[in-house]
Amino acid sequence: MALFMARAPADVVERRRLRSDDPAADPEVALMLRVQRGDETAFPELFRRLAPRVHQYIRRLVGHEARAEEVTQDVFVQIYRFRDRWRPERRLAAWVFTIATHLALNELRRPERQLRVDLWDDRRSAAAGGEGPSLADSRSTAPEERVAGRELLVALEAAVATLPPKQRAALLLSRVDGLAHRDVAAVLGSTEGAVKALLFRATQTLKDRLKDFL
Amino acid sequence: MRMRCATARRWMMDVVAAELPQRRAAALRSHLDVCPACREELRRTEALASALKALAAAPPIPPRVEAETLRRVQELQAQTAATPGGLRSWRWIAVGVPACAAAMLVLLVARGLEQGSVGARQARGLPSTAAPPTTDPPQPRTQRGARERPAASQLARQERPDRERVVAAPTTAARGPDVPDELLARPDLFVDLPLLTQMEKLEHFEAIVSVAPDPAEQPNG
Repeated sequence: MALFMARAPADVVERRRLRSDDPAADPEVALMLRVQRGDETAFPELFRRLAPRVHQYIRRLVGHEARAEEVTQDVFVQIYRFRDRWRPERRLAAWVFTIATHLALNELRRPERQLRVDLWDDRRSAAAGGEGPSLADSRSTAPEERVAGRELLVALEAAVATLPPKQRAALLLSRVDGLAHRDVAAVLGSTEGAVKALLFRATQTLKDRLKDFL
Repeated sequence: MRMRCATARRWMMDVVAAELPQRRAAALRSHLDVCPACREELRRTEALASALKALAAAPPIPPRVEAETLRRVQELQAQTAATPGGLRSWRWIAVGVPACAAAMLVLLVARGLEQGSVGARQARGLPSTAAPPTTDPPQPRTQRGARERPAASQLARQERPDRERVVAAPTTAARGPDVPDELLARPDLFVDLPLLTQMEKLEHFEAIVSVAPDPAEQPNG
């Protein structure tokens, strides 16, 4: 069984390398250190590297495209404003996602927020030729497999959007963005045991909702 | 010990993410060898994990988001450059104001505790530790063996630095009209007994004086 290989898969090795926050190994850490030293050319580059992941994470938490864009802006303004508070001994990804999670959850708590999952906006889909959001499916090659894979991903996105906010955040941080359990615990202000419990409940819910696809 | 299926299923996502310790992974493998239901559950878990990994592919950020974010950051940079000391002055304020507030709070608490202590002692009829006592400890014997007896007015004026309960000579305001001078002269012979009347104290005084030899009448040596 592939899961019990003696060595970890290549993508896990890559994630672990990026978790080290060694400036020599992680270009994002090197950019953050330059931002702290006052290099004004470093922040735009750091933004371009981090913003896609952060924006996607916020979009899945908040469930609304326009608000996700506003929150993403707020996150990076906060990163710049409090740039001196980050220390190299703390993982950069955990620090960034902590800010993103807090701002996104604050957005969810706003009373005037309209709870609408905006991922499959009909107008946008029509403008794009009815293909829906672009979701990569790296495993399939045959057309029918690609369709089946896309249907799974569409259903998965919808199922993730229905999870409670903390379960959703834990799942996205751990299984999508590749943070370690202790980093997810730091982001959520929780313990590793609590994070594992959140992940277990989230995956059980997803497996139930996607049993026709899995 | 045979593993329960509930335990095995709790560990499945961890083994997919390569975060399960080796010993547990070995125990899970042994369980899967004998449990077809859990093998199927693991297969579904793998499929879910693969699908979740596919969600990691993030589309590029909309250009307007980048433009607006960088504009706001440039505004911050301009504000920082315009302010003397920039953000550093805010740092001092952020540190100094809470520190001053904490110092004020400590002073207020200490003051409150001190006043509370004074009030509690006054309520129990005890002299305040901050107030100077009005009596002096017994004077040492002189070379002739006689103990000097300071006048009552002198006793009232003298101060005592220690914090023990002292026998206070009755002040003019506190004593009744019939307090004899002998009582005022020897407060060290009496304990503070608020229930005793002044006359009873005089009786006790005479009894103690009659028992204790007068050092002035003793022969030297």
